[in-house]
Amino acid sequence: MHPGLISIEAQIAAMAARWGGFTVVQCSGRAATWEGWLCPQKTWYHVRIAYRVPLAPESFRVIAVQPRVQILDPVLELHPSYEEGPLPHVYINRQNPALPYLCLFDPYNHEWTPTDLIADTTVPWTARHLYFYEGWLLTHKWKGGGRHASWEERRGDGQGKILATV
Amino acid sequence: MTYRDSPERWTKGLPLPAPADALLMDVARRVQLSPTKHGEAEKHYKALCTWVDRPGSPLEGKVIACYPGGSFATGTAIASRVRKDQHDVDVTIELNVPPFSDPATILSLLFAAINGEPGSRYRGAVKLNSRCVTVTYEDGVRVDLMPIARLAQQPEKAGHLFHWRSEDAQSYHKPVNPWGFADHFNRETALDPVFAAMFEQRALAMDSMLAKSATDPLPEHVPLTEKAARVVALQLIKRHRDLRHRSRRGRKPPSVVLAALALEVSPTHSGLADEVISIASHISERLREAGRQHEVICVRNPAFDPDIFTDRWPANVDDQTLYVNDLAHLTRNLKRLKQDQDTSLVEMKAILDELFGETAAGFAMDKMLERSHRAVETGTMRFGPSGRIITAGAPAIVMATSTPARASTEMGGGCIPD
Repeated sequence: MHPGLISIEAQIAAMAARWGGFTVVQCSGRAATWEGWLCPQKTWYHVRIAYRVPLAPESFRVIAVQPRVQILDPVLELHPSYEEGPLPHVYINRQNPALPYLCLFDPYNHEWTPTDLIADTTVPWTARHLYFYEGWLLTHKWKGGGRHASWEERRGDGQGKILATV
Repeated sequence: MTYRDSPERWTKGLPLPAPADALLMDVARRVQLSPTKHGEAEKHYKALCTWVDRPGSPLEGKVIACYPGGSFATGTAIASRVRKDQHDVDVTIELNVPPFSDPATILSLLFAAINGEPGSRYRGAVKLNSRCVTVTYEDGVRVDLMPIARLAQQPEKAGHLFHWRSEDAQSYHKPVNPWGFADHFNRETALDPVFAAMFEQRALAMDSMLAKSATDPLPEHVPLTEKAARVVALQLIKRHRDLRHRSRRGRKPPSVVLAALALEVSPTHSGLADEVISIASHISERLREAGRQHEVICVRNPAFDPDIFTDRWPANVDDQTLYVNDLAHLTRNLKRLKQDQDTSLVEMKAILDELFGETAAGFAMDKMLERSHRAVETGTMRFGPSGRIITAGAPAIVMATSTPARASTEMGGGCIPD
C-alpha cells in the first residue's frame, strides 16, 4: 500500500474511537463495511458505510473509491415534486434503487481523499446530510447547499484529477 | 434612542441568540409590515384625511389633526394576513366639533364625508361602525378612522370618542387619549442595544435584502432592528392572539390592553422567548387575579386615567378565562421550543405552526436551515456522539461534548463509476 494512504486498520480504529454506535460487519483485506446508527435530530437512521483502500494513488479516481454510504432504515423517501427531488444529492444504486449512495462531498475537487479518516469526515457529513434531508421533508426545499457535476465532469474530463499527492 | 451605528460595534463579542430566540426573531421578521406597506398605509390615511377636509365635504375645514393610533403609533403593528402582507390601520381624526356632540351625528357626518358623491373615489368602500368609519381598499387594506373631539383642560390631545350603535340605540361619549398612550408607550420601550445588536447581527447574517431595507426605512417606519425586545415580544403575542381568534366569534383582547399590561413588566434582557413568556405570564396573572374576585380586569390608559381600555373586552369572566388558557398554550409551547436540544425540526415547525401560523413558521424554518448551512460552510457545525447536530447558541455543556467537521460540498447525480 502506498505510504500516504490510511490503512483499513487505522480507519477501523478511528471509527471505533469516535463512533461507538458503529460496528464492523464485514472486513476482508483492504475493505471494511460498518453499520451503525445516527440520530441528527430525533429520528434514528441505520447507516451502512463500505470502503476499500485503493492500491496506489495513480490508479484511482476519488469518485470511484469514495466510501459508499447508504441509509438502510428508514428508507429515504422519494418526492419528485420537492426541490432537488426525487431525492437530493445521491448517486443511483442500479442494483438496489431503494438504497442510493449519499453524495457527501465534491470528488472532483478532492474534498475527501483516502488520506482522510472516515470517522472525521464521512460520518459527520452523513449526519449533516440527514439533518438537511429532514429539513427537506419538512419544507420541501433543500437547504444543504451543494452542486451538481458538470457534463464534462460526469463524462470523465476530470479524470486527470487523480489523487496526485498523497 | 436611535440605533444607527455600525452593527459590528454592537455585535462584537455578543453571544449568538439561543436557537429558540433565533426562530422567534425570524417569525417576528415575517409578521412585520414592510417599509413599503407602511408607506402605503401612511399614504392611504393622509389622503383620507385630506378628503374628509376637502371643499364641499360635510366636514370641510373641521379636521384639526390626523395621526395613526393603536398599533401603528406604538410600532407594534403586524400583518393581519401574513401571506398577503395585509394590514389594518387605526387612525385618529381630530375634529373641530364640540366634545359633547351627538355621536350618531358625528359618525354619520364622517361616513358621508368619506363616502362622497356617487362616482367619487371611496364611494361604496366605506362602512359605518359604532366608533369609527372603515374604508376597505382594493388590496384588502382597511383603514379605521375614529373621530374624536378635544377636551379642554386635559392632557394634550385627550378627547371624546363618539359611540353610537343603531341596533340598540347605544349612544355615549368616551374619554380617550390614543396619542398620549402611544407617546407613553414609546418612551417606556426605549431601545435595548443588546437586543437590537443581536437582531441586526442576524439580519446581516441571514438576509441581506431585509437588512438593506431595514437600514433604509421610510419616514417614521421603525425597522425591526431598532425595536425593543418588549415591542417584538408584544407583536408575537398579538400574532398568537389573532391566530387563536381566527375561528372564534366575539371580540379578541384589544392590542392596547396587551400593550398597557406589557408595560407593567420589566424587560428580562435574557432573550426573546423569555420576554414573550414573561409578558404573557404577567398578563395571564393579572387576568386570573381579577377572575379570582369574580371580576373582569380594568386597564386604564396610563397617560389619561379616565380612558378605560377594557370597556369592551373582556365582556365577562369567561372571556378572561379563554384568554388565560390561550396564554398558557403560548407559554407552554415556547418552553418546549426553548428545550430545543430535545426538539426535532418537525416538532419545532409544528410548534411554530400552531403558535404563529404556517407562513411565518415556514419562513423561520427556512431561515434556520439556511443558518445551519452557513455553519456547514464555515466548518462550525458540530456533532454530538450519536451524530446529533448541535446548533450555535446551544448550552455550553452540550457544545463541550460535540465535535466539529470540516466543510464539504453536497454533490450528486448519476452513478458511482466502477
